[in-house]
Amino acid sequence: MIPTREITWNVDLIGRVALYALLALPAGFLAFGLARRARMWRLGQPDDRFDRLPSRLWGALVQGILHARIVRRRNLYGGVMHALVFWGFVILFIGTVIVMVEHDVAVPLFGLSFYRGNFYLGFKLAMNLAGLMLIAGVLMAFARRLMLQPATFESSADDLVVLAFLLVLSVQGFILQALRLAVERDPWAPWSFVSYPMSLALQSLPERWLRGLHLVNWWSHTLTTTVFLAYVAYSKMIHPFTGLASVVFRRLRPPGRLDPIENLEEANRLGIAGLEDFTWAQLLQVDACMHCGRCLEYCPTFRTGKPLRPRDLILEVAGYVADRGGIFSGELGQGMNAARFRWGAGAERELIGGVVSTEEIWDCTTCGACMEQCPVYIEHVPLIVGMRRNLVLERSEFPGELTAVFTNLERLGSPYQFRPAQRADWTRKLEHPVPEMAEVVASGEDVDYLLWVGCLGSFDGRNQRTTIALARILQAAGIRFAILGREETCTGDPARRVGNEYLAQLLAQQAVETLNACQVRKIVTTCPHCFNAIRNEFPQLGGHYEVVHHSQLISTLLAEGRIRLQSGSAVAQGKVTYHDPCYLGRYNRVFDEPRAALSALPGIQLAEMPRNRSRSFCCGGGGGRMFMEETRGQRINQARVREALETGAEVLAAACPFCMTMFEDGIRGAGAEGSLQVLDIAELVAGALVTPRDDSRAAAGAGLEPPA
Amino acid sequence: MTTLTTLWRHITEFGWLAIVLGIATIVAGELVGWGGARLVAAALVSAGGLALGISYGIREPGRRRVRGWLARYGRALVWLLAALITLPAALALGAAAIGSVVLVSHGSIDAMPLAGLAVAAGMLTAMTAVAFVALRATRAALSKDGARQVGVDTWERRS
Repeated sequence: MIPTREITWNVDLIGRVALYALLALPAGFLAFGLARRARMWRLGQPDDRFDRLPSRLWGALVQGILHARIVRRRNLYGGVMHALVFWGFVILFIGTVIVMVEHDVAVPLFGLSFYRGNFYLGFKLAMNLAGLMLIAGVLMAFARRLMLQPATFESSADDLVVLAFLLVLSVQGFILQALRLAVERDPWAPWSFVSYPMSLALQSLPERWLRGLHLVNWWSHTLTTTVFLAYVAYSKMIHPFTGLASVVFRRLRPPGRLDPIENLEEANRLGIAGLEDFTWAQLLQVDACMHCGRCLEYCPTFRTGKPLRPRDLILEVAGYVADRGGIFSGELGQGMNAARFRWGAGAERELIGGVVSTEEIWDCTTCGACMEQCPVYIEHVPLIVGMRRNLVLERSEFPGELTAVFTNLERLGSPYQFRPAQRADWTRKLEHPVPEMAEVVASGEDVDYLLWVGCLGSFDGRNQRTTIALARILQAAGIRFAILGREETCTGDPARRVGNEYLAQLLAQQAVETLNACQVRKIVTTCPHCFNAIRNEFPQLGGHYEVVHHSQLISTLLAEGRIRLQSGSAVAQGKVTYHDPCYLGRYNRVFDEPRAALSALPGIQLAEMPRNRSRSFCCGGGGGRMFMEETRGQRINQARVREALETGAEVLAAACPFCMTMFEDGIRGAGAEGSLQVLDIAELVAGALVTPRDDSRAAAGAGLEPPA
Repeated sequence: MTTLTTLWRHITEFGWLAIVLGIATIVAGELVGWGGARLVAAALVSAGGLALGISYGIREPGRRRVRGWLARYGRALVWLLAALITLPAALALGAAAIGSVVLVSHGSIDAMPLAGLAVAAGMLTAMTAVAFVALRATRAALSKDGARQVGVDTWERRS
């Protein structure tokens, strides 16, 4: 006897006809939902997301289907739960297709049957396992929604309905199998290890009851499948389509690069203020949001109780574009999602002010923690900056503190009220002079690096110490470098991040022209914001340079032995914790070099904060927040300082002048002046540097000639 | 190109035609016992459904009527579907308990049917609980007051 079973066992003629006739319903409803969405996405502005298709598809396979971005160590429960549901469902779906191929293609058209023997036994085993996986995943999801309730989580009626459908479908499958086995009593029934015991419990009932129950359940299962598939496009279950599409059409350009407004002078509309201002990829992305809340996990504004919650902002926009774009979504009522209808429903709402509040728009530090975590690669920051652009450029509505910043940037080329002539004042504190690029070019000499000092490094007393420390390190290493001095201007980063694209382009253009005129090739900078702008945004304006952050250069110099460190640092000893600046770490993936530089310091023990590397917690100073008052919620810098204090470190190592300033304030605000000090990596290294004078002293002690 | 344009222009008619033809094919195929009809029918019916979905989906949205219908009959529809979907399964799972009682009364029950009873009981419990929670949430979501409760309250609680 060969193991197999009769497909559509116990199903009458009407049932067999209905099975095929009903296919029109899910196909039609799904096509309708997707066509409506595609129609809505097509309302967006053009955005070239069709380049590097193999990379895009490979990423979708690895990150989406294989769950590399979903199952994460820090989010294991949610990841495993999703994997169980996803793989359970996919295996069961593949199983259904296999049965259809046997029943509708292989046997009737070719007279071939593969649904038998060992294949059949393995198939039964796999299907039972997949059904169990699905049930386990659904129960985990329910437990998460009803009992665990993480702070970042929000559930809706739609979520629960979808999960209930999945569980019922799986249970129905087991019931149908158990009822058939109870009648047929297959000798190979134990391979169906979940249904088999149930079939034994049912066997004592009359066959006519069992057949009747089977038929009723078969109809119920067919109805459930039809309704569920028809519901897919109007529920969260659309996310396998929209989510995967969002991953395929994800941003492959550097995440730190904001797209400029092309032909700024001639543009009719500036920034994002309505449906027609989004790009099609942005419309797809907001539609793909499944409100998992991962964007909130490391979000500084959410964690400090501010109105901006990236997930909610995306859902607010999603509700708006659904209303305006005419797609069915949230038809289970307004209770489907709190954020989506936070300001009321209706297509007449205005995007800025009516759907998304200006507080949300201005709260963002553009740290990118949301984008880093999002499983479907939603780009929150460009969206927020787009709305800021509209507020600044079209409405002239922005926080009052920015007025002075814009004025200074326009008049003085820096956010601060210092004259350009003061840019090189810090060099007077050095023992050896630092040449300016104009002199170098005039003399026909060459330098290894241009030191891009940055506005804070030039003018701010605290950050000047970092610049001086770096200059000493470079001089000790024998590196030829120069500065632009009064020729240096802001890169335009703060203006761009707060939405003043006009000013940003003006400043960046000016900087690129200066750099090109000086024939600069290699740049070192202490500021990750300048680093990001020069590396990722200057090429948009024809500025192509090799740029390194000072932590990278210091790390290389140490590794190459071009600078040496003495055992007793004059600056710090003991435990040091390192804060990853967002624009260096998350945006430009520089994680190891700063740590390598710190680890090379004798007598220093590196202690990591719980939120580190790509999961670092912002200092609160990015996205122009450095220049704005922080009036809502707790202060972000103090939250980070408290985290640093918890490591027991005495030094908070920074690698960014913005972070430096924010932490200096944060330490004062947290009352931790006596227990924690913030120092830049350059200061720590310079404090332990073996200078030529130290070498002379050591050589004299040993009776040797000092090195040349 | 011309054929495609013509097809596109008449996509709605072709959609309906494909569905009717598909159903006719499956009925005929099942009556005469020709298995090959199933594939043809499935292809026709699915293609018809897809064509209709696309043709209505790309039109200018006019969903007020559907929204109104959903508002009027949504709750009744949910309850009807919930009953049709869960009651047969609950009945079958309950039957496992009756079967076990019969086995006990015959003195012929051993570990395996008991395990089956446990599995059935577990599934029944899980299904009932999940269906109850989902129905309660749906009812709340479909009512205006409930919407406020499920939605805005959740928001305020987290604020």
